[in-house]
This record gives sequence, C-alpha cells and structure tokens, in this order.
Amino acid sequence: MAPTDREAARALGGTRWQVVRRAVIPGARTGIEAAVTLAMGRALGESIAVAMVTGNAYVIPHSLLAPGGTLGSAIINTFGRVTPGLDRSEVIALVVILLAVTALVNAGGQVLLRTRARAELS
Amino acid sequence: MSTVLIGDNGGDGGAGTGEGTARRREVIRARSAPSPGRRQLTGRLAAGFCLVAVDISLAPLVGLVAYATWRGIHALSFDLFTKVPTPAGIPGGGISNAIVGRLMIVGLAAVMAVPVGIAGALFLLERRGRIAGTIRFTADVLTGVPAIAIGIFAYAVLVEPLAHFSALAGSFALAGLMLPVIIRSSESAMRAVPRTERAAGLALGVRRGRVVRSIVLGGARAGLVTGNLLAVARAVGETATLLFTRYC
Repeated sequence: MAPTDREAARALGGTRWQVVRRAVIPGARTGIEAAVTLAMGRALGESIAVAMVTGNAYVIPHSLLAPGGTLGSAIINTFGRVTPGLDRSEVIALVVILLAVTALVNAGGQVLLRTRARAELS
Repeated sequence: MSTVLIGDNGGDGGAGTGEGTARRREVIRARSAPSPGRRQLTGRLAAGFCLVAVDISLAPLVGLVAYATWRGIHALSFDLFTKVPTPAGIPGGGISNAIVGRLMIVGLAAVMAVPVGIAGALFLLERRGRIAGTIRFTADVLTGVPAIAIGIFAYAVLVEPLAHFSALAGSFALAGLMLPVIIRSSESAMRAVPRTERAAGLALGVRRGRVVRSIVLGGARAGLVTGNLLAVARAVGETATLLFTRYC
C-alpha cells in the first residue's frame, strides 16, 4: 500500500486503529488475498504432515475427531505398496488431480499478486 | 459500511482531488468526531486482539523448538553423526550414512539446478514480452506445487525406465523442486543491478556476454548466493519428493 495513504489517514485525525482499518487494510487487500490464496495452495499440497496424523482411513469422516485422509496422504500411503500397472496408474492419477487443484489455486494467487503490482504502478 | 474511504481509490492512483477528497473528509469527520473515548477504546481492543494473534502465531514455532529440544537433546551424541546404524534392537550406531547421502543428493541437485536456473533468470532479464511473462508465471506457480507431484514426475521419468530407485533420481527430483525458486530469486537479484551500470559497460564497447558475466553476474553475486542457498535449504528439508525416488 502507498505510505501516503497511511499519512493521510493519520493527518485526518484517525486513531491508530482507524488508520489500520480504513487505510492500511483496504490498501493491502489484494496482497492479503494473494497471500491467503498461496498459503492455501501450500496447505492443499501438503502430504507428509497430514499422512502422519490423520489415520488414512478411506472414508468421509463424520466427525472432526474421526480418522480420515487427503489426496496427499493417500498418495504417500498407497504408493509404496501398489503393484506396477493399473494400480500404480491409479496413484499417479491421484497425483494429477492434486497437481491440477494446487496449480489452479496457486495460479489464482499469482494473478492476485500481479494485479496488486499493476495497481501500485499506476 | 462500505462507503468509499481513503485507500479505496481504485485505479486513479495517488491522492484523490477536489470533490472526492472533500467527500471523504466529510465521511471521516462524521465517523470520528463524536466520541474520542470510544475511538480510544476500540483502538485498545484492536491492539489487544493483535497481540493475542501474534501470540497464537508464535506458539507453534516456540512449542515446536522447545518440544523437540526437550525430547531429543538427550539422544544427541557424537556417535549419531559419525556411525552407521546398527541392526534393529542393538543399541548404539548413528545416522552418518543418511547425512552423507543427503549431502550427495542435494549437492548433485544443486549442480543440476543452479546453472540452468541462473541461465533461465538471465533469459528473463534480457527478454521482455509474452514468452518471458509466461515463463515467470509458470515458475511462480511451480514454486507452490506439491513436492509429491515432482517426486512422482521423477519416478516416471527416471525410476521406471531405469527399473530401480536411485540417488540420481532423487537429485533430479530435488533439482526440479529447486529450479523455480532459483530462477525467480536469481532474476530479482540480477534486476537489482542498476541499468546504468550495464549501459556504461556497453557504452565502453564491452561485448554483451562480457557485460553479463562481469557486471550483471558480478554485481548480483551476493543476491545470487543468498537465493541459491535458500533453494538448497529448501531441498535439504524435503522428504516427500524423495519418497518416490529413493526408498526400497
């Protein structure tokens, strides 16, 4: 965000919080959105940390406390013991889905970052 | 509550002029004038909330380091770094083989990725237009791509045709993981070299290749080292990629 926005808000008599709420956050909005999107993309693609703790059950859990699994953890857990051929292709298909989803989210985040850069240039 | 206020001036950039500014000032006065006490209270509450948020985000970091130290420190010994593992059930031994293997794999990955990455960054620096833009975008998207996807790719390209897992395949996968990071960080490091310095070199009649080597690469050396080390650090901590290329 432009530092002048912050100075202007201060000069208009805003308290520190008002400056943040009315100038800093709106000015940094696209950047914040981009950051959140990219972080989500990271989390979507994370596999090891999830595989270690979720229990890798192949069900849709009906409780937050029940075991479940994600695309990433399923890939990690099945890849080691599948047989070559169709089985292996299935796991690789999972990877393709995972890749498509994360690439899409990341691309969205990058587009947001770029809009921000352009807005700041103008 | 979505009245147009400061900072929300869309595309027209800079400070709003005339009427717009007057209107915004009106809105802000109308909102802020009545009760300074309440504004202060809101400010204090918000500051308190931010403090709590900072604590929450620091907790995992501090907790992780503290817990790992508390549980692990007694197991650290000189042997851990110098000996190979003993068979299961027999005490003693270390993980020196894993450390050496890790260094070899990451080293080889760096040898593969760094030259390509720096050359790619140079291309992005010298070329403008759609191709460069597309490559830059792709590299940025690839930076966030899950490591297992790259691992599976290395598996399909190197492990399956060669019919066995190998350190080489591991290095290849890590190189793929490092490449986008190297390209982007090297590019921004080189971009920090002032255009005028390059222009000066060219004006002295120095050939383009020499300008790139001496002025661009030389001037960006510190940034290049930092960026590449970050990429290596990322590869050192990577597990998922190697799962598909090295085990068994």
